Amino acid sequence: MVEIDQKLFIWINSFAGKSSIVDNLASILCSDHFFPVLLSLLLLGLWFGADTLKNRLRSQKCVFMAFLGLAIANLNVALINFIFFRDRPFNNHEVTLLFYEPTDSSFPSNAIAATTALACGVWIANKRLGSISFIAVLIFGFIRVFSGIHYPIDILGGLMIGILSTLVARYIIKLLDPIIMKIIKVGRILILA
Amino acid sequence: MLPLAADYFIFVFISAIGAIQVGASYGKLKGIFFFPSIIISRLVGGLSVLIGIVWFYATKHRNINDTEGGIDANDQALWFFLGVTAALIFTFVITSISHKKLSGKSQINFELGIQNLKHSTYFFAIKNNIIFRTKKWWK
Repeated sequence: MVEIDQKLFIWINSFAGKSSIVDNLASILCSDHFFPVLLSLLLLGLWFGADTLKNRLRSQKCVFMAFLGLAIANLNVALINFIFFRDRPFNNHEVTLLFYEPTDSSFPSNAIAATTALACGVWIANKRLGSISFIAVLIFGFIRVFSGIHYPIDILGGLMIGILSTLVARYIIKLLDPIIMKIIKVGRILILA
Repeated sequence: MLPLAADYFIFVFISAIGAIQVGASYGKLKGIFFFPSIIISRLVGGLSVLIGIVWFYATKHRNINDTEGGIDANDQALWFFLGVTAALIFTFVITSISHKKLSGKSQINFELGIQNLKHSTYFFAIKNNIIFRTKKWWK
């Protein structure tokens, strides 16, 4: 399994460094800011975007769920990294690196876990936008491998943690519904929710 | 030269203004439109997001490790929150000043929250909310 993962990484990364245009684009898309900010902005748009009160409430609960999912995903990644450390690809292979050299564990991908949690929140609120968000996360994951920062299994691990964290967040949000409703009520008084 | 965190704040601020406009256009929240047309609001909103991204990535190299002057995840979350808050304040102030025609023409239902922005500006809605609650409190 690890061998297949490494071979797949080497094959995908072998396409890097061939075209400066593709490399520059990849270095933007794999950045720590691009996709996380875009998905967060999508959630901001959803907060204002529903046209009926019922849909608005649903969207706003999904925004809470997405950010709680992101926090749980980060916590899970930190816990896994506490007991398991995997070297980055550039530590063990000849790599065309389009990014800085991160010092934290390669598995699971924290960036992918976080963006997957955000995409899950978008998907629960709006299936069409959610599907686009998941495609964006897959592109993000592919580019992180292409850029030499992660192995493919790190991306899969990040995806799974993101999805599981959102499921946990969904359960917690259901449990905390009276509190969430109070927060939204205060938001309504301030004309913010 | 601004540090990365300040640039990130500006990037989020510009893009969030756009995201709010796009969201408001789908929610038909005319009270926070910069432009009267839904389509123009949507286009300008999308353009604003694009301008934020292009400005942030075209002006400098942004892939910097947080141990070498980059911003870590916690700071990213903080600056994102501050950028969005600034964008909301900017949107509410500008649209409340520019849409005076919307003020005073509608009834405010405080249970509806931002649904009120379909017919009134933010300042009008919040001002009437404070007056309503103060009167209710004195009774």
